[in-house]
Amino acid sequence: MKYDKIAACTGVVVLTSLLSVPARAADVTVTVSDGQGLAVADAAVYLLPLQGRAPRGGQKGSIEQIDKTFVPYVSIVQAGTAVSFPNKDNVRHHVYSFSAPKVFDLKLYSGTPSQPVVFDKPGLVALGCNIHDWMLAYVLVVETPWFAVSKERGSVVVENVPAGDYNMTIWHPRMKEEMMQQVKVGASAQTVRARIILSKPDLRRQGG
Amino acid sequence: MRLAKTLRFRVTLLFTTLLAVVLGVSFFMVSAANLGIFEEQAEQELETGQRVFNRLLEQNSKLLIQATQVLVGDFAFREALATADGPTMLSALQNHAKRLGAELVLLSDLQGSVPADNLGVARDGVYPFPDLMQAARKDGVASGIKVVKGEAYELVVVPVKAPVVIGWITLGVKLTGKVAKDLKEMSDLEVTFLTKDGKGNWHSFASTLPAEQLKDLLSHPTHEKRLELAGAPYQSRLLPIAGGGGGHVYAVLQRPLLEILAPFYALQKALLALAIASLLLCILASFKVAGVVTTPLHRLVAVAKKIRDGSYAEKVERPETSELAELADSLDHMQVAIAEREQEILALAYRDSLTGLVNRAGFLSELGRRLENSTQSQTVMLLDLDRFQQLNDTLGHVAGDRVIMRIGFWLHAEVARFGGVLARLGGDEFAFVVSGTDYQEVLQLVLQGFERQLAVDERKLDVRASIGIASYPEHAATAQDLLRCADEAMYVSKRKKCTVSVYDAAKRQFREEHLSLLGDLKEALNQEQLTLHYQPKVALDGSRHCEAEALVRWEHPVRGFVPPFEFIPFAEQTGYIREITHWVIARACIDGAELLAAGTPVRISVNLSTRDLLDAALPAFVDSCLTMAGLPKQYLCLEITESGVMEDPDRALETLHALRNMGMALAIDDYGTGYSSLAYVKQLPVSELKIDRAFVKEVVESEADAMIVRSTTELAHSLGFKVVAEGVETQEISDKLHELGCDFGQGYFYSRPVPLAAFAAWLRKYQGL
Repeated sequence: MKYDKIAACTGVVVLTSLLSVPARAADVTVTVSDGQGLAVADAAVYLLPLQGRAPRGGQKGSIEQIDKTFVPYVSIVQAGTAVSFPNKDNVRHHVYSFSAPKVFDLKLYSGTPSQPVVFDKPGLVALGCNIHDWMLAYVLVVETPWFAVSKERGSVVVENVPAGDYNMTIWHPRMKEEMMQQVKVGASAQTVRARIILSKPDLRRQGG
Repeated sequence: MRLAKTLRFRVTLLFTTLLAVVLGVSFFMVSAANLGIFEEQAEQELETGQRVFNRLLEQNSKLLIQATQVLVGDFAFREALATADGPTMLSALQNHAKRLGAELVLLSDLQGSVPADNLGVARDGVYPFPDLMQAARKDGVASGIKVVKGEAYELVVVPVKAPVVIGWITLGVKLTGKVAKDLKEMSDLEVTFLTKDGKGNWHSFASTLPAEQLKDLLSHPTHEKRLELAGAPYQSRLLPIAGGGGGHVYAVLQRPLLEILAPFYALQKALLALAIASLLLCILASFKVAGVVTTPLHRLVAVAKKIRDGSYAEKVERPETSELAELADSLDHMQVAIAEREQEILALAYRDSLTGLVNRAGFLSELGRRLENSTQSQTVMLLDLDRFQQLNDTLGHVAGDRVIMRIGFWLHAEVARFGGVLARLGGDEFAFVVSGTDYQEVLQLVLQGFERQLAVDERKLDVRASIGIASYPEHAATAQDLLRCADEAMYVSKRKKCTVSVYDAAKRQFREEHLSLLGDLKEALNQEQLTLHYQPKVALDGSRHCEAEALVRWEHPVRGFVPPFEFIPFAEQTGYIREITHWVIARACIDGAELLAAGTPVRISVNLSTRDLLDAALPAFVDSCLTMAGLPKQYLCLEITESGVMEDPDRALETLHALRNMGMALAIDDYGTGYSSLAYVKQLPVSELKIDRAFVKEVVESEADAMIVRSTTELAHSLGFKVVAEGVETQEISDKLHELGCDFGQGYFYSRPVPLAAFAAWLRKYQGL
C-alpha cells in the first residue's frame, strides 16, 4: 500500500512582507483558515529551502495515548526522529502503522515502550491501535527542521527560519492534497495567511 | 292433460325458478365476495412475504457486511494486505472469503485498480462494479446483487482501514438454490431469481418452484399478478432486485393459491349443496302447496265431467279455500239449474205445443217404456185424418188447428179411460197405445167418435180418419218398428178406403225386399241386367199390320227374373225410374232401327211413368235417341197412364205437348182404371187409347163389359183415337173385340212378351214373310 505524495498546488496564498530589510533568521507565522475563513487547527506547515539541504534538527518526539486517543492528532517530525509512545491510559494499546514510510507495531504495552520508533523516511504515516479501531493519528515525516502544526487559533509559528527562499507546504488530514507555495524569508518575522480547502471528512471518532 | 300445462306444475316451476334465481344470485355474490376476500388475503400474504423477503435480503447483505467488516478488522489480514506481495494478498483474501462462504472476492485500491481478483472479474484491472464503489465511498459500505459470469451474486463492498481507508474488499455470495430455499422458509413464498438475456429469454439462477412450474414460469410473462403454472394457480410478483452493469436481476415471489383457496372451494361446495337441497325442498313444498289448490280443483273437474255426462246428482265436496268453495257452490247451483232446465227442455221436446199431447218423440219413449216394463202385449193405433189437407185449404189453418185440438181433446179422454196414452205425431196424425190385444172396445169408441159431427166456427164438419193397428210382440219388437207397422197398416186403410187395417207382416216383407233392390237396381243398369221384351199389338182388321209394346225385364243374378211390378213402383218412388226410362227408350230406338233394317218395320210403344212426364228434358232426350239410332219418329210411341198426368197436370201436359209437337205418337194406357172421363182425355194430345184388361177379360161373357168396350171405342173413334185392347187371351175375345170396333189387340193369344230375336221371328212368321 502506497501513498501518492505531493502534487502541484493551485491554492491561493496571500503573502504579506512586513520587513523589507533581510536578517539572519526570523519567525514565520502562518495563519491557516478554511473556505469560510475559520481558523483551522491541526494543519502541518513545513518549509523546504530551495537551495541547499536543511540541517538536522532535534531528533526526538512523543505521541501520547490519553483517554484512548493519540495526542497530538497530527505530528510533524524531521526524518530520523525517534518518537516515543507513552501510554497514559490504564488499558493497553497496540499501536501500528502499515504506511509505507514506516511500518511498525508496538504490541500490547502499557507505560512507555523502551524503544522509541524512528521515522527515518519522509512521508505520511497513519497510526492506529489494533485494540481501539477508532484511534487515529498522523505523523508527517519531512526532511526539514522548519515545521509546525497549527493550534486552535489556526496560527502556526515556524521559528528561526534563516532568510532565504522556501517552498512552504501546508497539509491537513481533511485536505485532498497538500498545498505548496514559495516563501521568501527575510530578517524579521513575517506572517503568511493560508486558506485551505477541507474537502475530506474528519475521520476522528470517539471510542468508548 | 300434459304435465307442463297443469297449474300444479306451473306453481312449482314459478316458485322453484324464483328460489333458483335468488340462490343463484346470492351464490355468485357470496362467491365473488369470498373470492375477493381470499384473493386479498393472498395478496396481503404476498405483500407480507415480500416485506419479509426484502428484509431478509437486506439482513443477508448486512450480515455479509458485518462478517466482512470483522474479516477486514483482523490485524494479520490487514498486515498481509498492507505489506504482502500480490500472490500472498490473493491467497489471504481467498482464505478469508472461504471462511465467510463467499465465492467472489476482490481487492481494489484507492485509485480503482484491482490488485487481487479471485474470479478474474475485473477486466484490464478496472474495478467492475463502479456503482457499488460509489455507494461505498459515500456510505462507507455498499451491497447489491449483480450478475457475474452468468451467475447472480450478493455483493458487499467494505473498506480496509489501517486505520484510514487503504483499500476496498468486495465479497460476493452466489444466489444458490439454498439461498432461495432459506428465503422461502422464512417468507413462506416461492422464490425464484431470474434474469432476462439480450434476446429477451428468461433464465433462472435459483428457484424453489418444482421444475415443471419453473419451466412454465420462464415461458410466461412474469409480471402478471395471477399466474397459472402447470395447472396450479399462483399469486405472483416480479421484483427488480438489481439493475445496472451485468444485467437486471429479478426475484419472483409467489404464493400458491390452491392452499389459500382451499377453504373457499370448500365453502363454495357447501353453498352449492345447500342451494340444491333447498331447491329440492322448494320443489317438494310448492308441489304440496299447489296440491292444496289443485286437488280440490281436480275433484271439482271430476264433478263437472259427471255433469257433462248428464249426471246432476253429484255431491259437490266443499273445499276449505274460500275461492274454491265459491266455485264448488257455483258448480252445485249450476248442476241444479241444468237439471231443471233439462227437465223443461225434455218436457218441450216430448210435448206437442198445439194440443199439449206428447209428440212423436214422447210417444216413442213412452212406448219404449211400456214395451220394456210391461209383461202385457201392447197395441198401437195410428190415426190419420182423411182429406185434412183439403179441409185446411178450404177453411184455413186456424180452423184446421182447431179441428186437430178438438179431436185431440176427445180422443185423449177416450184413450185415457183405457189407461192408454195419446200422442199427436204431427200434422193430422195421432197415435195411441193401450195395453193388451183386446182393443175392440176402444176402437169402437174411437170410430163412434168420428161418426159425430164436429162444430168448428159454427160449421158442422164430417171428419174421418184412416186407422192402422199393430201389436207388440206380434208385429214388432221395438217401439220404432211397432209405430212403423201401425203406419203401414194405416196406409193400407187409406189405399183401400177401408178405415181400419191391422198390420199384415207379408206386406212388410215385400217392402223390405224393395229396399234391398235399390242397390241391385243400380247395378242392373250398369251391368246390363235389364233387357227389353216385345209383345205385339195386332191389327184386328186382318190386315196383318202389327205394332209392339216394349216391356222391361230384369234378370237378377241371384233372384232370377224380377217382374216389373216389383221394381217399377219402387223405382218410381226413389226417382230411379228416370234412368230406367232413358235406358228403355234408347234400347227401343236401337231395336226399332234393327227391325227397320231387317225389313220388318214396327212401331214400338214405350211406357212413361209419372216422373218422366215431369222431366222437361225428356223430349230432347227422345229426339237424340231417335237421331242416334237412325229411327224415324213414326216408329216410336210413348204410353202414359191417366194417373201419371193427374199428379201435376200442368207440367205433364207441357211435356206431352212438346212430345206431340215433335210428331211423336202418344197413347193412354190402362184406360178405365182411373176416374178420368173421356172428356178429360180428349184434352190430352194423344192419338191412341188402350182399354184396360179388366174390361177385356170377360168381354165375351159380360154384356156390361162388352157395352163399355163398345161405347168407349165408339167415343174414342169419334174423338179420332185409335183403340187398343189389352189382355186378349183367346180367339173368341179377339173376334169379339173386332166386332166391338177395337182397332188393335194385345195379349197372350197372339204372343207373350219375348226377346227381340224371338219377336222378329214371330213377326216374320205372322206376316208370312
